[in-house]
Amino acid sequence: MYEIVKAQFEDGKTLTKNRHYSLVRRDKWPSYHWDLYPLTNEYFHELNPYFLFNLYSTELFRFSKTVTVRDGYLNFAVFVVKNFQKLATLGPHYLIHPDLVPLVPPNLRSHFSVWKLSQPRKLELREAKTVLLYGMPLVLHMGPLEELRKRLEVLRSLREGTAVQVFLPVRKQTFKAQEKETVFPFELVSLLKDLLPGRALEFINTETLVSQNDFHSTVLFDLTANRAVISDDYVHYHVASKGGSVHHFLKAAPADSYFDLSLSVNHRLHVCPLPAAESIFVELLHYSRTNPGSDLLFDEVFQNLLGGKLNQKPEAP
Amino acid sequence: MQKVACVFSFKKSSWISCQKIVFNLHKAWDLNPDFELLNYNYSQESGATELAQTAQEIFKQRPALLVILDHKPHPFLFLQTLFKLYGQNPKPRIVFHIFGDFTLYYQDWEKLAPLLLGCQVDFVVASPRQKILLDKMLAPGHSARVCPFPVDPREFHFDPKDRAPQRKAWGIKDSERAFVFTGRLTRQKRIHSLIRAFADVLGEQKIPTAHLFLYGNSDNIGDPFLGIWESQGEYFRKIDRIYQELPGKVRERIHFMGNVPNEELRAVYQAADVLVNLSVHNDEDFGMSVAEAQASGLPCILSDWGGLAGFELPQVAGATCYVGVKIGKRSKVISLADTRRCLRSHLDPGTKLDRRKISQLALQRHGIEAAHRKIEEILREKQAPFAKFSPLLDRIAYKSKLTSTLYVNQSREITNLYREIYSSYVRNS
Repeated sequence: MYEIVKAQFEDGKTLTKNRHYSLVRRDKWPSYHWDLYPLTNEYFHELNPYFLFNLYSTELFRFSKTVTVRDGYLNFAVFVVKNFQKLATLGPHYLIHPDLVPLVPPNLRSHFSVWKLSQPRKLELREAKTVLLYGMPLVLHMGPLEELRKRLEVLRSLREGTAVQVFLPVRKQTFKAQEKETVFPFELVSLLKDLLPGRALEFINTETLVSQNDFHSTVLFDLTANRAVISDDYVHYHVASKGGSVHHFLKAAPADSYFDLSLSVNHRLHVCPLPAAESIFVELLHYSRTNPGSDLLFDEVFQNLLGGKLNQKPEAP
Repeated sequence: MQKVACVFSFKKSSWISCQKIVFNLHKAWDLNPDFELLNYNYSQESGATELAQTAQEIFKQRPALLVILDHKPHPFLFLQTLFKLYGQNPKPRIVFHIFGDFTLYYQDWEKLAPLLLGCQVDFVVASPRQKILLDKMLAPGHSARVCPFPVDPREFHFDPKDRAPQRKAWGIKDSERAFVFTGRLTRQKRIHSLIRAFADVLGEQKIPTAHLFLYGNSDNIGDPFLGIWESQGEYFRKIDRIYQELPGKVRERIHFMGNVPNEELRAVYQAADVLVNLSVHNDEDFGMSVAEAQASGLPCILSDWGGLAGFELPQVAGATCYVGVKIGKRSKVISLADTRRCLRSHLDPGTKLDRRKISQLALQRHGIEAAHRKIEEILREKQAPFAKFSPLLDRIAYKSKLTSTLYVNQSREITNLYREIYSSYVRNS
């Protein structure tokens, strides 16, 4: 594993390097990539951060020796179910978020490692001058409101005087076969007002967020419940690389890190061995075999099955 | 009292230096007791209704002067809306404070020309080299005036009491030299060259005696005029790789500090011994961080490029050391030999410059009071009514409609058009 990762680092040939921009037919990417802007924005490091759903040909799989997988567990589950037979021969070593580990087929574990992010100079919520509350306001991303309310209780401890910015990019509903009208964003705002009485909430749009060059003294608090859609979110990268802190990043380097590199002055990526975890791959495979006509990504039963199984596991940092 | 309509974005610019510039320019205008400043918001978010209302309010006030203080958004739409109201009525005198991004908006300036026809217009730039550039864009009979972007002396001045605590926070000894860079860690600021040159010079010493503190975050601007685009994170990885390959004893003396609030830079400039800025940025019309550092009494090592050339202080030997720049075949080339020479010249801990004098001279030139006097001087003179921009600007505006790579040919070599414009930014053009 280490040799592959090190060789890839030294080679540095990746799909997101600007020099290789024109090699990728972005028109072949699924439309939901664009619906998830700016979460899916591209960025570079030598270990090839990429969405598996955008690797539309085997050539792209073989382009680099590693892929730092940015997909959430839904896409990743669909990917392994569809490709487990040829996964060993597709080429790269996959670096995945720890939450995705139970999806790895037991016989293919040697093709995987996990990535983690750390910020040694991370500020805690109580130290922040500004807290940026962020998330795509959809149930699939944030989970039910009542659970969200429990997770957000921590915000009551914010210091008086801490400014609160809110970035809720409203987009099409992710992985829904049919678009349905939702009042979730309004209920969410109402919840935030309820949890933070008397505080002014400054709502910002995507342009303001992505053009902001300095997040010094800002802590980003992600309202997302799980990594269903995206495990490596560009918004986290943007805030961290411009000096901000991301609440759920590690403060110290993980003890099991076998390779690491700085992504910015302010945050580091660590590659660690795949931890032990009970695999649920066989159950997913069984579901897909017994529902051959289903488009798994948009199949709400599959989504619930997966969410239920994964949420039984303790969440990795 | 003369009414002066000041137009700027009430929303802060994402360019940190520009936030300061607009604010300080406003202070300079405000020093004139004969002016009544009326402030109007024109920002990226201004919709058609807000714009029309603002224009209406200005028209009602009939100011004698209209001052465009900000760089974004371009004032074309604003002036188009306002001048519709004026019709054949005499228009106010217009003062444009020109920023470094002038060269990004040729098409907008070209569109503006018919609106400005016959108006009393002043194009005010921040440095002598930017004046050379802008004069090329103006028709004969019109020339740009220079008023440096001002520094507020209450914020940046010589104050030695801040030195010891900051050096203690850095963990460096009195006998060690501190070189500092503040700004964006970006390709056109040549951070990679600075790290290499600093490592070379440190490597020559048996016992290293210096530290380099790099303040700022990285970006992905690249050098698009020269066909170099970068992905997000690409430039940071480039400099981090250079850094990681250095010997440990050098690495421990190069410090990536990230961004800090502007007010924290005051102590940084007091604690440092030299500011280094090797920018060859296409927008480098001035150098606000250099102005603030110099106002704090800090000697500077600077690239001889664009606005940075305007910080020479011949009255204090060693206050500035310039690094040669030339426009090469494919890129802007800074002299590494000059960089090393300048770094070496500041390595001796015994070097003592009169920092109080540097600060005084810098503030005489770049303080808010100095900008106020410059503005008065500019307003005392009248230029011929505006007729048109130069054929060069029209040519660039036309070409930029046809291609996005104006300045490099298919072999990625720099074109004559680029040289025609940016020869203004190098010495002896």
